[in-house]
Amino acid sequence: MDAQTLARCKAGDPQAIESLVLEHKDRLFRFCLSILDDPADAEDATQESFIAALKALKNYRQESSFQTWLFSIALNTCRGQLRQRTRRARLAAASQPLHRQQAESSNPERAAIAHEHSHAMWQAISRLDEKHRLPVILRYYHELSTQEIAEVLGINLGTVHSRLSIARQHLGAELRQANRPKRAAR
Amino acid sequence: MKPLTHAQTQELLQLAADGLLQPGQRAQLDAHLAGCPECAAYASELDSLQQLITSSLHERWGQPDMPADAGRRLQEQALRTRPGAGIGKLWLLLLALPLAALLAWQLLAPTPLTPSAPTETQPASPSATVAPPTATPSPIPSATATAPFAPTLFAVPAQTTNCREGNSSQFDIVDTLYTDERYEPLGRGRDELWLQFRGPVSGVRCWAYVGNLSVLLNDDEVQLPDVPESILPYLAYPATPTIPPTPEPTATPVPQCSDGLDNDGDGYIDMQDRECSDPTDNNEAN
Ligand SMILES: [Zn+2]
Repeated sequence: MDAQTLARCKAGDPQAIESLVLEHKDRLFRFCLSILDDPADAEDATQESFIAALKALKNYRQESSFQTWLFSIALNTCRGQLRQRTRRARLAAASQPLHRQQAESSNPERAAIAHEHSHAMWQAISRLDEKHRLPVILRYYHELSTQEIAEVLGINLGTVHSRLSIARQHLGAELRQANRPKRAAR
Repeated sequence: MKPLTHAQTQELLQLAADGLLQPGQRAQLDAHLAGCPECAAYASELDSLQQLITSSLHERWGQPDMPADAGRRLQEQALRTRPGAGIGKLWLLLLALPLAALLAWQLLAPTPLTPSAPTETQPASPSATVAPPTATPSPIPSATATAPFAPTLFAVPAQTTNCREGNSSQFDIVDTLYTDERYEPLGRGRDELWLQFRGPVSGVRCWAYVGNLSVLLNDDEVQLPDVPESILPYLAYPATPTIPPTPEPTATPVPQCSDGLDNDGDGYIDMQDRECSDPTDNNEAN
């Protein structure tokens, strides 16, 4: 995003705002989707984050890229949503089973080996705690550099690297463990 | 150049995966890999692990665009939003009046201001409505034009903001302050960069970065150093945790016999290594 367009956005130029939205909405949507793992929630979060970013545009100092800054705002929004979701889940827990998990495991079409591996990997990733899962998603889904990840998460570069290596170690181990009994059965 | 050990090589491979190799390390790494089947195997395993992570995430979510109708709604709302283009200098004028009133009030009323229970929804004083005479005596002496001017101070997050145990992002997040809600700060830090709040959900005291907040004194936006100290006392920050930036402790340490690594370098991994008694055994060497 060039500085000129941003300056025009700050001044309230509707054309500039329109092109800012156009340029960033899809990546922002994918970002929220990857944190929330739910398209409808991701739509809301994208909306909320973008508007929050526009309102806070004066705080953007161009030390990081606009996208990185936008992601860091969206991360906060998504965390808020996750918190609410946890609260809702706690309230609903007594009466209802967890729908999402049920729907997942009742899918019988998991035949292809490649697909099976990839699904097992997704499950292993979703079991990581947040501080290890987020860097993995930002690196391997959003293809951010470690420097950009550090900016989005507000942690330093060394911490990003150590979280990523620990996550890779976990994921590698989990996958091997998941594969072992199946190989023995064949 | 000193040859690399296996462990050093594997750490360099981890750094390479994160794009963090120093100049020159690539050549060193390649030299070792060329002559070491063990590390070459580690490298290719790391490679396929990364490919699998990437493909599984893409399989999960694909590369969707924002749905068209949601995109349109966003465009519309964005155009209705006035971008935060800075407060300008107007607030100085707006501030002058309440501050003068406040100063006068402070000189006349020596009682210290205690930050009291939240009064967020307190409406503007209904000066137009004349209170009918009632039997219940009001605790306020008189509701005349010279009634004490009560300053109210709020913070309004410009974005959803983390509230942390202390005054840096090194501290854990303990609560969240939401956009456009009003929160009453309990105090500020000496460096004017963090404000303390009572976490709205957790109820614990937590700190938020002022860059994410607008501070309102009687509904006028003010900059923090201009908030009179009697309204917002200075507070000591909690001791900064001395966390070494790296390496950080694993959340759940994986025992050597189930960590997927050949810890003792004998060519056998985890339970394939006869020195492992069970997967919880933390010593692969004996
Ligand atoms: Zn080696």
